[in-house]
This record gives sequence, C-alpha cells and structure tokens, in this order.
Amino acid sequence: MRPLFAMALVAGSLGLSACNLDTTNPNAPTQETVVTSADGLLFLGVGLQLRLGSSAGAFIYGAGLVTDELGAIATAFSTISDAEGGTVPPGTGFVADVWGTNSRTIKTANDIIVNQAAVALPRGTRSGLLGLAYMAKAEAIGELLQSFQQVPVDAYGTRTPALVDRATALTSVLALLDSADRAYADTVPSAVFTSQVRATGLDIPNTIQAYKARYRRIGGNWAGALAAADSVSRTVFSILPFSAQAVNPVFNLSTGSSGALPRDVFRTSDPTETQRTAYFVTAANIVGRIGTPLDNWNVFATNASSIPAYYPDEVLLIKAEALVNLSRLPEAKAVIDSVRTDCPNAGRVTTDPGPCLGAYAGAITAADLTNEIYRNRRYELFGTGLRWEDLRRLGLVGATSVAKRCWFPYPIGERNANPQSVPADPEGTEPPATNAACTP
Amino acid sequence: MRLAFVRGLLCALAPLAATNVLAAQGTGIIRGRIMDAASRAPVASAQVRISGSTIGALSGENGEYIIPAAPAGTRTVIAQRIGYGPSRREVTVAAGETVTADFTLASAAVTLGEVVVTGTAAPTERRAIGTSIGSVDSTSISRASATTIDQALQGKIAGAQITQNSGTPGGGGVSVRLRGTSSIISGSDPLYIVDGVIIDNSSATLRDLGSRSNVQNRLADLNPADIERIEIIRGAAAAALYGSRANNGVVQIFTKRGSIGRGRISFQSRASTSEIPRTLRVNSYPYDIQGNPVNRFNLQDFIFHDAMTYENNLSVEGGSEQTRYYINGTWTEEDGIERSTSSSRKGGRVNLTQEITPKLNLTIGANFVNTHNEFQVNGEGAGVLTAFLFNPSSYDPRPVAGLFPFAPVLDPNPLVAINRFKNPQDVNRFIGSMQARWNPADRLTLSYTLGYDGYSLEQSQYFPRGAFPTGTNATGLSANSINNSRILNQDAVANFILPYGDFQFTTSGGVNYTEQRLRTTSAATTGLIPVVEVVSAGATPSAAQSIIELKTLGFYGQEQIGWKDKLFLTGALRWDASSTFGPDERWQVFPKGSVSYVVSEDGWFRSLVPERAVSSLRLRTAIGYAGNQPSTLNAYSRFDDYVPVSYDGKSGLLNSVTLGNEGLKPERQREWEFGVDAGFLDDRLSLEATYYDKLVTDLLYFRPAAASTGYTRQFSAIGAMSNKGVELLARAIAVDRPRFRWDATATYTRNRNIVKRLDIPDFQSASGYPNRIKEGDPIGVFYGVYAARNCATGDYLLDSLGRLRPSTSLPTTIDARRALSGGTCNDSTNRILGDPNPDWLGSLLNEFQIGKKLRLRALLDGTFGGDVINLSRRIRDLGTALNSPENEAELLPYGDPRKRPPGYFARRLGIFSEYVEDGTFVKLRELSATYTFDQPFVRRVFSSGIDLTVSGRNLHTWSDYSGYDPEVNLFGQNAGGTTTTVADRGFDFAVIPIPRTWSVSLRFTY
Repeated sequence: MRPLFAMALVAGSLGLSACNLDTTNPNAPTQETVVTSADGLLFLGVGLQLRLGSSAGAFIYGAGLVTDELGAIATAFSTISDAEGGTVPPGTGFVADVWGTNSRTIKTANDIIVNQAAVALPRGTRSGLLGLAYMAKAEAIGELLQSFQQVPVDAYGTRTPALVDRATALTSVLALLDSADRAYADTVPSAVFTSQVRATGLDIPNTIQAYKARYRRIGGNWAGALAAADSVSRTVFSILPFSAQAVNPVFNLSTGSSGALPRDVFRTSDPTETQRTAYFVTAANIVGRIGTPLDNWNVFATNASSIPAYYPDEVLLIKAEALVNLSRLPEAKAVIDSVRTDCPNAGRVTTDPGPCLGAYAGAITAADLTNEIYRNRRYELFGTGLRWEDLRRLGLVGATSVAKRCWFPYPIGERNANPQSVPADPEGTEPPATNAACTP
Repeated sequence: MRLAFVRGLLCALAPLAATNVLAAQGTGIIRGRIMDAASRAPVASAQVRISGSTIGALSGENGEYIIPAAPAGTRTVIAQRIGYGPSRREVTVAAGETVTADFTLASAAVTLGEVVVTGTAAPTERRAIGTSIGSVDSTSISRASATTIDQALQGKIAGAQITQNSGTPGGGGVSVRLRGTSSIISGSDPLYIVDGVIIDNSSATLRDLGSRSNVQNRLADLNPADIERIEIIRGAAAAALYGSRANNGVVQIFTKRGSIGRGRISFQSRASTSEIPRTLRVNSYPYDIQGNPVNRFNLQDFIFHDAMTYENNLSVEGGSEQTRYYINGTWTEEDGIERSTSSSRKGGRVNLTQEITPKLNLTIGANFVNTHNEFQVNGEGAGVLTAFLFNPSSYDPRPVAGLFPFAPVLDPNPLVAINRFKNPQDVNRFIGSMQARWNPADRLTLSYTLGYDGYSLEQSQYFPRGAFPTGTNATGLSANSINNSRILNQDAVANFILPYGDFQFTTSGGVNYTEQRLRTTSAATTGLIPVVEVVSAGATPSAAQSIIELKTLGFYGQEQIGWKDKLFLTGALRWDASSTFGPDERWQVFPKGSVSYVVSEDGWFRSLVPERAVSSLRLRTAIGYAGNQPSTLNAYSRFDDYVPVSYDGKSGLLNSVTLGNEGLKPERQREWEFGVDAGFLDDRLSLEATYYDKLVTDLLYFRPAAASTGYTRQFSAIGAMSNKGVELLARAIAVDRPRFRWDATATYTRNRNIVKRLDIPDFQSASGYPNRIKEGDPIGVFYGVYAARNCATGDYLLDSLGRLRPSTSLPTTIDARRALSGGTCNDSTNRILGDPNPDWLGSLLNEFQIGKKLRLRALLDGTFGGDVINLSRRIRDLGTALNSPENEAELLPYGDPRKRPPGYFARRLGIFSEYVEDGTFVKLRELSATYTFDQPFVRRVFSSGIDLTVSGRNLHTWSDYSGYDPEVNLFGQNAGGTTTTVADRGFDFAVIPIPRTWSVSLRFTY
C-alpha cells in the first residue's frame, strides 16, 4: 500500500504545484501594471517625448520630400526618389511611418490621459503629465492632418479606429490644447515632473500656446491665433533634445536606403537669405538619386541635434498674419520687421535663425504683407514640415508645382486591418497634373 | 474550477486502484536467451513479453532477457523483433522461482507483433494501433557512421524529410519534418522524448554566425551509441496523447538498459576522414575587365582541407536478476572540412534498473555530456565562405610583409577569419530520469517518471581589431552569451487490463506536468584593447538578460477494446493547459480515435487467400487532434508588454508595438489517416502503406494591426495549412540461407503542403529573401522578380545592350508590357519562381550477410522535385566579384562570339528567377562492410570477437544542382523567431557542404 500512497501523493502534489499557470512576464511590465501606477505614468511621460520626437521626424521627412525641401540621396531606394517627384503609391514605407509614429505618440499620450484619473498622483505631477500628454497628442493629430485628408483622433481601446475629416480633427486638436492649458493652469508642475519627466529644453506651457497659435491659424481663427501668439514668451526656445542613444530621426534619415537631404534650391533661391539658409544647411554639391543637387543639414548635422518644438519666430509670423487678416496692417509690418531684423546670435533668442535683413520696404497692403510673411515662413521654418500646409494654402500643388501632392495615400497596412474606416485615397499614385485645389 | 474537478476525479479513481491491489498474487522470474533461427547468433533488442499484460523486457547484446516480476501461473511468453516473426511459448511461473524460456526467431519482414509505447499510454502491440508508427533499432543507428542521431535516421523512415542543413562539424544542424511542415513560426521539428523525458532540441544561436539559426541542434548532445531503439509517430492521429506539443509528431528515443550476465566490456574506436564533396570552379581568365593581366586564386584552397574525426566509446553492461546496468563513456573529436572548425563531444551515461520488490521496479538514467564546438562565420553578412563568393578571384588573401590584405569587396580576409576569429560554443548538459513501475496486481501497472534536462550553452565570439577596415567591428568584437535551459518533466500513468470473454479492455489514465525555464544573459563590446579577448577588454560593453518560463499541465485517458486479438478500437482524450495560452483558452481538449482490424486472422479471409500469398493483412484508420504551443520566443505573447526606453538621460516606458493577445491558443491539427499493413510470401515481404490528411488551423503568426491604434502587429491565429500524402515502407527478405542473407528496405514519401487560408496579406518569410507564404501555394515558395521573356518564343527579352530585362523594368502599364512581350506572360512584376518542397522522397537500403562474418550495407537516399535557390551562384554575379567561370564571358575581348555585354551578370543579379535550380538529388548515404574476427584465438580474449567496419557516409551525390550541395539550407533549423520562419527552405547561400566521409572502425568486446 505504501508505494501507492506515495504515488498518489506525487500525483496530487503534481496537480497542486501546477495549479498556477498564470505566469507573468519577468522581462517587461504589462499595460495593467504600467498605467495603474504613478511610477508607470512618469515613465510613460518620458517615453511620450521620445515618440513625439520620432513622429516629428517622420513628419518633417515626409512633408519635406513631397515639397521642395528634401531630395533622395544616391543610395536611397527608388520609392524615395519617386516621392521626390510626387509619385507615392499606397504601400510606401515612409508614409506608413508618418501615420504610424504619430499614431504611437497619440497612443502613449492616451495611456496617460485615460488612465491618470485612477492613479493617485501629486497635483503638480498630474498637471505636468496631463499638460504634456494633451500637448503631444494635439501636435501628433496636427501633423497627421497636415499629411492625410482624414485622420484618427479617437483610437484608444479600439482595434479599428474611425477616421474623421480635417475640420473635425482640427477641432479636436484645439480642444486638446485647451485641456493642456487648463491642466497646466491648475498648478505649477512638481519638481518630480520637471526633473524626472520633462526633457531638458522642452518648455511645455509656451509650446502649448505656440501650438494653439499654429492650429488656430490653420483653422482661420485669427483673433484666437493672435491671442495665443501673444501669450508665448518671446525669449524661450523650446526643443526636443536628442543624443547618441536617442538619435535625431531626421539626421538618421539622411543616409542609407531612405536617405534624403535638403535640396540646394533652398540655399540658392534667394541670395539675401544667406544668414537663414546657413542656419539650416551647408553647401555640399551632393548629387541625388535622380540628379537633384543636395546640401548637407546644418541644423540636424549630428545624431544629437535637437528638433525645435517650434521656432520662436513662427509665433511672430503667425501674429503678423493674424494682424493682416484682422486688417491691422501697420502692426503687422512692425512684427514682420522684428523677424527680418533678427540676427544670428543676437536678439531675444540667440540660437534661432535670423535673416539679419533691414526693415520691410514693400507696400503695406494685405497681399504684399502676406507674401512677405509666407516668404519668411519658407526661410524661417525650413525642416519643420509646415511648408506643405503653406503651399496648399497658396495653391502651389501639382506635378509641376512646388508641392507635388495634396495628401499622402492611406497606408496599405491600415487599409488591410481597418477596411471599414479607411476611405478611398484622395489622389492617385501619380501626382495631380495641374495645380490642384486641395479640398480638405 | 476545471482543475479542481480533475483533481477530484483523480482522487475518485485512487480507491479503485487500491481494490485491485488486493488481487495481487505471488510472482516469479522468467529468463532466457533469444537466438537467430538460421545463424544461432544471439538476437539483441528483442522484445519479450507476457501475453495479455504490459510486463516484459528487452534482450541485451548477448541475447539474454529477464522478466523479474512475472505473475505466478501459466503464462504465454512472446518474443519478437524487427526483421523476425514472433515466437510464443507457454511457461509456468511459480511464486519465488525462476523459469527459463529460450526462443529462436525466424526471419520475417512483418512486424505486427512489435510492441510500441509512444503515443499509446501503455505498451501496445502494433497490431492494436490504428496509426502507423515508425521504429528504428540500434543496429540501424550504429551502422550509419553518423555523428548525431538525427543524421543516423536519414533515409530510414517513411513520411520523414530529414535534412542536414550544413556540413559544419557536430551534426551540421538537422531538420526533421514528419509528414510536412505544420507550423510557420512555432517550430516544425518533432517533440523529442528520451526514456520518457521531454528533452530540448532547440537551435538557439546566441551570436550571429550568419545563419540566423545555430548550425547544431541540441539533439547532437546525445550519443548514438547509447541508443537501443527509436519510435516515431508522425502526426496528430498518433500523437494526440501528447496534446498541445505534438503537432509536429513525436520521436521517442530509448537508451540501452544492460543485459543479464557477467559484465561485458566493449570498446569501439572509429577514425574517419572527411573531404569536401566538390569544389566550385572559379574565374581563371588571365585579364581583368580593363584588359590588364591578373593572377587568379582559388580561395577555396585556403578555406577547405581534409579533416579527421576520432570517436571512441567504452561501455560496460551486465546485471543480475535484480539489477541491470549500462555504463558508457564517449569521446569524439571531429574536425571540420572548413579550416578552424571542430566539434567534440565527451560524456557518459549510467543506466541502472533495480528490482526493489518483485512488484516494484526502479530505473534510473543519468547522462552527462560536454559538447564543445569551434565554429566559423559563414552565410549572411560577413564570413569565410561569404568572402569567397563576394570577392574577385584576383584577390590574394595571403599576407604581404606580415600584413593580411583587406578584401577588395567584402571583408574579412578569410585567412584572418580562419586564423584569428574565435566562435566557440560550449554545452554542459545533464539529462536524468527516474522511473518507478509498480505492478500492485497482475493487470494493473502504475508508473511515475521524473525527468530533468538541464544545460548551459555558452557561445562566445571574438574578432580582433583591424579585421575589418570600417564598421562597428573594425575595433574588434568580443561577446559572450549564455543560455541556461531547464526542463522538468513529471508523468504519472495508470494502466489496467481487463479480459472479458473474447474482449480485452485496456484502460489508461495519466497526468503530465512540464516546466521549462530558459534564461539568457549576454554581454558584448567593441573597441578592444590588444591581446585580451574578454568583454571587459572593450570600450563599449553592453549587456542583456531575459527569462522565459513555460508550464504545461495535461491529463489524459484512453480506453482500448480488443476483440479476439484481431479487432481493436481505441479512444482517447488529452486535456491540456499551458501558461502561454490566454486565460479563457487555457484548457484545450485533444481527442483521438482509431480502429485496427487484422483481416488475415479471420477465417473468411483465409478461405479466400492462401497464407503463402498473403500471410498477414491489417487495415487501420485513425483520427486525432493535437496542438502546437507558441515557442519560447513567443511565450509571453498574450501580454500587452511595455518596453524600456531611454530619452534625455531618463528611463522611460513605451507600449511594445506587438499587441498582446488574451485569446492566444495553440495551433491545432486534425489528422486523419488510413493504412494497410500486409505480409506476403510467408512474411518474407511486407508492405506498410498509409494515406494521411492533416489540417492545421489557428496557425500562429503576426497579424498586422491598424497602425492608428499605436500597435503594428499581434501574435494570433492567421490561417490554415494542410499536408496530404502517402508513405510506403516495404521490407523484403530477398534471400535467407544459413550462409547468405539479403534484406532490402525501401521507403517512399510524398507530401503536398498547401497554405489553405491566410487571413493576412502574403508575406516574405525572411524579409528581402524569396521564400513566401501565400494562400493557395505550398509554404515557402520562391517568389520574386523574373527575367522577362517573349511570350511566343520563350526567348529572353533583352535590353539595347543585350542584357536580361527584369520583370520590374518593363513598362508599368499592362498594355505596354503586353505589346513588348507579345502576350500576357510578363503581366505581373513578381511571380512564383519555384517550390522548395520536394515532390517525393525515397530511400533504398540493401543489407547482405555473407557467411557468419561479413556484413555489407548500402543506403541510397533521394529527394525529388524540390527547388533550391542558389544564392551563392547569384552573388558571384556581383559586378565587383565576377568570380565564376561563367563570368569569364564578360571579360572576353569584343568580337568574341561568347562575349557577354558589360554589366550582363550584374543585371542578372537582380533577377531571382535565374538562380532557382532543380534540387533533386540521390545520395549514397551509407556504405559499409563489417567483418567479425571470431577465430578461437580471438575469442579467447574477446568473447564476442572483434568487428572491423569500413564505412562511408554521403559518399556520392547524383544531382544536376550547380552548387556544392542541394541538401543544405542557410537558415538552418528555423526553430522560429521573428527574422526567419520554418518556410525558409531550399536556401543555399555560403553554406558549408556536407562532407564525404570514410571511416574505419574497430569494436572489441570482452
């Protein structure tokens, strides 16, 4: 009997010890543990800024390729040089990157926004995290709506997010920025947030105001844009920092099979703009894959170059444009002059681009001032991706125009996995032949 | 809750078992000797068993057997072995007494009486099983002159495609596909079990040697000399009892147990020489492309050499009625045909069987092995053979003034790699098992197995400073990675046999629990200081660690009903839970059912067919389900993981872009098979034929997610795959005379694999390479760019310079393409270029016994109709290499009619279709002659004489393939992962070919 008893015991203990098949992953925390703890949310805040940097890089690269900013280098795949000419088939990788990286920024922002309420956090830490998350989500949606005709704004908790049109998306962006504003207004961010989460050099409250101005401008809310522009500090240069470990994505895309560099047309197009063009590029005589003469980056010269959250003078140019549209032309000219007379290593912010030109001498008409504002935006905001939207507004889109396309096609992966939500592509693979009015 | 129910059930069954204990009676011992009827030689590995029970034993090398716990009374004892017909004797066992029963066995090709234990819950006669089960005995293994067990199985099993993936020493990495490929990513090699213990057969490559898979699979740690027999079950119908791990079939290995009698010492020593089966010719044109004279070199002369292998086995076996033992020590040193490569295996095994009481039997097995390999980098990236393919034949790698010149196209200089690179791999492994078998009653057997398989695999890599002119490794590389693997296995089974009139009921039930843990730690650096090779010598050390745990719990029950020993019905259920499955899918049920009908035992059949023509005939059919768990690589795929990142000097977290799958469940296979086993001409000729139909559903792979969710993919069920096929095994005793015997065995295997359904878009298995997974086509078809042809004439379309036109270079509009092609044959930009899955496999083994002293053996093994993509030949077309004789045509002076236009081959490089070749081959796998010196003066010292064997392995290959060897595969065993899948087959790129090996071996038995 005894061996039987022993065997029964063994069999019994076998069943008991095996009871717990719910192993945990010792290599990585799960969503449940991350989003339900204060520490987890702080770590997400750090990750969110990395994702914001990646998505900004993808946007700058994509918008640069289909406008006159960037060209494919010789070692780039033909998809890159095709895009330079405006040919972008739905499966193009960098388009999927613009879509994917911004969606991931939104996802991480949502991880914080949706879950923070259930987590006990010091008030100042919560305000900092929420301000950052709303701001990052708003900018990511904003970059999407400057690249695609319809975009996802509410993707959390669903496998097949709906897409909304640009106007609806813009409303969301502005509402998010208002939320960011309120979060920051609630209380001053804690030292924990400032030291453990916020990236060195990223000024969140001013970035929120600058983005408000940026997207109110896109929405044509000129009074609002003016108010937001006026609440941005003139002495702050807010940046996303990079390093050898977390590399600048635009620099990273300047070599190899996806390599693209600034076209030399930027440097050569206006001899009076040498101060500002030298800020962004250095002459290099590089021949691109389809013969485009290319320069090297100066502003993104190394893997540790930072990407500006916004350039301080973007805010001034928005202010000037708002003033023009509100028919306050002399005030607008004064603002334009303050941009024109800014010099490198001088002025309110010493490290931003400065044309070091004289005061504006042209006619003080709405049309002339607007022209001058757009001209300044081209040279002041190179390598921000913002030029694509400007060219759309100017109607300079088409196969033979400055921007080759109105929109990117929707990524094929999104269409396959989310067929109900993704509409037909607004344009074909080939760019529209004539200047197209890019209807939103 | 379910678990509680099962535990309750177990408890409910316990008293039932206890009542049967009361029925126990006294036991005695049966022992005796098994001999060949013709030659009177002892027959080893014969099964001896008491009819109507599970009690039995195997005969040892001297033909002796012992059944220690034979129940008292008059019993029928049956002895049988592969190649012989069964023999029966009645014996009367008295309690506490020993009775002797000797048997002589007559040759027969039919094996219906053979007892198998794999997948059957209890030892069962083959005749009762509704599926086909393969078995291979020790002589087939030991005479193969193979380094590893899986090599030794090549050409011996119908329904198995056994491929040696490279000619690297230490086994070269062997893939076994039983009835086709049954998974994409979770591994397609069978589950290996040694003496009841699940063992690890992974191919983890911790450092990059250019093949994405180790060139050695861990089965190579086992010593073929220890093997008694091997059983192979090929699909779900037979393997259902192994539940969620049995999709790819099961191979169970039984090691030698020792035999009764005085200790027998046996020493075997083998010396072999290996050589490259063929070398590739090189461009020997004396001028370069500019017309300047150049010297040409054949880098293969610097890379390959003839290599020696020494293998020694010393074993002692023996025993008494209560104790039997088998002890073996082994030492193998194998040099590779590629200079700087070698493999050694040193180890020992102790198997001990002890009868504690007549009813309680304890078996203990302990196996320790150290495997040490020195490997070399080949294949993708940078490597020795890679450098041969990439560089022009004008490259002289020899040192100039003490400095090794860099290669013009792709470094390293092969001589630097051979002399200075180090890629050692060290395995220390212990496999232990303890098995207790208790027969509390005549018809009741309880057994418990505890198994442990633990090893550490340490893989290092050292590149000196300056081996590469640029790149991250230019300042040297030192890396060290360690895998600690442990599998703990527990198995408890109860068997009860109940005869009732003409019926016999066999009831079995059991529980199995397996715990697997894998811990990996690695460290690496570049920027080495001189001389020192450890990681600490570098400027940029980095480290990583991962821990993986898998747990599987299963319960199973089986009922077999036999009627008059000719009709058998079996039904079984396995109920399995794995920690890798989502909580709601945790418990999975795998049923099976089978029927076996021995028609020839029926009177009506005998009245129609004379015994002389059809001596035996059996029909069988079975259906069963089995599963496949996510492998260790995807063990945590059910979780939504967050991964650490670093930004601005701060630690952060981000969601992994792979979304967790709470509903994860195993791949599930349904297999149906039907077969006939027949014996003809007094059992001199036997035929086993099986048709099978397998369908794997819930195939696991990464399903692309909508990127707008913030995820890119999810590990989940994405489709279904089917394998249908036929396997035949024919054995014939062509001549059976006292002084001459001729046995022939032939196998035929035909499998059709189709990806039946794919819920995700087609995809390239390894990004950038041609193997594709596509609905409606066999797994891993070659897919890509082809050379455009004139649709009417079939001639190549050429460009203005006379070069080929890739399908991608044709006009984009379909009308323009058709106008240019004169038809629709070039409509698509990519197409299927070939299929690496063979049409059929076949083997033919002939064995001759001449007199009593000489045995001859020849095994032919062939693969027919599979394609190979010769990417080695492709890369030789690189404009900067042009090192094949074919490339000479581009260097010829203008005006020569053979002249190819400049850039012809560089253009061809981009056209994959031009490198797909027929991989059909037949290999002379084994050839051997063994002579036994047993003259009286020899036997005075060595009781069983001295065996002298001269043998060869892979001596010749008949094939039209233009590369080294159509059998090899760069991505090796593809045990799973994210960068390659099991679909990557027929992929020849800078792989060391399988050597031709001649051996001389001596075996002394004292």
